[in-house]
Amino acid sequence: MFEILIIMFAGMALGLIVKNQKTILAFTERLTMVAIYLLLFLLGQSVAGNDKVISNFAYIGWQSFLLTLCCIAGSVICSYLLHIFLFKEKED
Amino acid sequence: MRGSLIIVSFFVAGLFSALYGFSLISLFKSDPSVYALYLLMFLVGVGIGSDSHVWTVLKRINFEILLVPCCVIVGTLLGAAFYFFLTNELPLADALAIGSGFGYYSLSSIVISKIRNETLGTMALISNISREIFTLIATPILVKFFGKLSPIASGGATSMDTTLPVIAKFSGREYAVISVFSGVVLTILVPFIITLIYRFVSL
Repeated sequence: MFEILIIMFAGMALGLIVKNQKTILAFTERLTMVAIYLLLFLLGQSVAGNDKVISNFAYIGWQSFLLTLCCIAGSVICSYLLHIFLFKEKED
Repeated sequence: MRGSLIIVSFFVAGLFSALYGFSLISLFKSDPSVYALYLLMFLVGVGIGSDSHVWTVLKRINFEILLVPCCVIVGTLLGAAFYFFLTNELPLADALAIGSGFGYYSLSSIVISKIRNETLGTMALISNISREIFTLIATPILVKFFGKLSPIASGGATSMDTTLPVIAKFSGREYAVISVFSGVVLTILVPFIITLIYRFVSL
């Protein structure tokens, strides 16, 4: 899946070149949303064909939520330490 | 918030249309979503490259401000590892990769569903959307107990746009710059970190 990074870099290079072309940029922005909508529609469609996901949807949902809570807790604790050691003295 | 509702509704529409017999995927010989993903990554790249806002924000890099997104990455990965040891439900790489969406649910769910499977893609979608929603709701409480950086950490990649207004309101306008900076850095890094995790974490 490294190819997606290369493709993204190619896009960034092109983006730098067409930086001031407002119409092109408005068009890419709209096309980006269309691609996201299409891909999520397709993701929904492939999920529908997967009985494992459908029959365990509530369970999968809770696991995802629990994972998120852990990730948020971890980053909030880290940012709290940063706040105490670096940012707080500036406020006082 | 409106954006996330639209995105979820496309996912749900795909789900139900397929359950009731309309399948776009079966019209193609090979999976069309791979090419749609390539197109999306290209467009996301164009968006980042052409955004003068991104470049001005990135020029403000100094050591302290750079520590904020670093904190979010380290904290998120530690949290995901904790989840792995706590539940043992998912392989470590999957827990880390889903966490590394940092709230950027559209991209992370799509990339993960392509690299792994739709079950994990769905988990990435639910997990990263709840990161955004949680931040929108909990920011006042977070600021009160964990300081003004905490909603920026909680918001992850969303702190540059969807959760920015609520962060600016409760942490103060002077934190809006840090918030945008952290969100931009994380947004750019999401595809890199996910790909790297699947490349190097084999547990």
